[in-house]
Amino acid sequence: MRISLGSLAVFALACGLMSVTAHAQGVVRPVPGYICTLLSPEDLELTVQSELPPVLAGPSPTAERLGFPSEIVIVKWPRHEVGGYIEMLRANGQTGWIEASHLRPWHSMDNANVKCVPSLLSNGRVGTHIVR
Amino acid sequence: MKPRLFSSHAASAALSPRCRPGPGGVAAATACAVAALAAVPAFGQVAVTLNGPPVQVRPYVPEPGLPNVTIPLGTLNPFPSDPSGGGSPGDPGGGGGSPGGGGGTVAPSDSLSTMIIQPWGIAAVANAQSIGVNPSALAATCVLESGCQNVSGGTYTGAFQMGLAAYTDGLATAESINSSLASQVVPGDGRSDPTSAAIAAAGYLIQGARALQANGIANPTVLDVRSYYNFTPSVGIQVAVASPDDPMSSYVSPAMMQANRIAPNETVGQWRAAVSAKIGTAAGQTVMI
Repeated sequence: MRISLGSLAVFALACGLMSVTAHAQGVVRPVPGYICTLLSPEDLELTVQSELPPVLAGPSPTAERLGFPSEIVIVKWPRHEVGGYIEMLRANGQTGWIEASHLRPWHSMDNANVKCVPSLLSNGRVGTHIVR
Repeated sequence: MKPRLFSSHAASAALSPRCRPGPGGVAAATACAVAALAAVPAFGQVAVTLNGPPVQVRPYVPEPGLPNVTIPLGTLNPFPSDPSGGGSPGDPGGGGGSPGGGGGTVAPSDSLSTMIIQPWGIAAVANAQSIGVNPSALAATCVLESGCQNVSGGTYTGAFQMGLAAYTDGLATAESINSSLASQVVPGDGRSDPTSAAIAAAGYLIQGARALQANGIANPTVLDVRSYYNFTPSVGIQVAVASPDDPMSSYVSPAMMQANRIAPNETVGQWRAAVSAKIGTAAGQTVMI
């Protein structure tokens, strides 16, 4: 299943327009041009790391494996998809690629009215910030 | 999802008062030997010059029904004389991914005291060390999962409450580092064999530590890796790097929240504090040594 473009657009708009009023500790600033997505429910239940969809160096199953995704996958917006793989941003700022079929629009697990903002953290890494 | 079966464990068990050497029991055995010598009346003492190397104490561990386990001299001592070298307690309310710990040294902890007195505890310590895992990290895991008791269950079972897939994968990681560990693993599903399960759990902790390193936590602590073990890899990494102000419910599914007795409004920082309170000084120690 692919991410609905409409859903992504809504999230991107929300991320872009919202003002982050309550910076949590360690959040420096939002990272523009990216949105939060969520791994599929099946992936979230996996207890074995090696069964997760790999993060690859390029949009190809034969590309170098860079690692494994966490629950929230930060993807480039507007969406950049090549051959079923979508461009994402790793915690170290490096670009990666992950199969688009494993991603869903982000939502809080309790469906609370909060937003996920891709952010630069004070440790220099790229992370997320949950904004109420 | 790994339900937290025990909400609280007073990790206050003391080591056996017997003169039983610990896993790095040279110091303990020496102390026992000195104590025994001191009790012998001194009759006609004659000075004797040492000829050759001094006699070495070779500690062994007696367990009823089991052959003695001899601990080779030079085995790393999990109870160093300077506890300050093993890292500081975690910062329960601090940000995820803080280095914490003392840079990969082994230190005593309440959790380790709880695990070491189990019949399988000493082997677990030695095996963990052989693959570079801090025994206190392993001990904290069994304290949190089962109180270090070999409890049987459904999907998750044994002292380390592992699912079969995680058990198998953890074993593979551990044995890829030290292939000789395979000789201690029971064939098939060994989750109910604590020695086998401890090896698998140590391997799983390595996977967690590596995953967090790949996500910006250079030297993951026991507290950092706890979410990886407690939930699932993808969720665990996210919680580990989350802001302490974030609600756990943003990252953890309602089912996992309920199974792990996490309050609906609990923040990441509060959850970390609760974990730290249960495992004490182990929380801030590094997983890898």
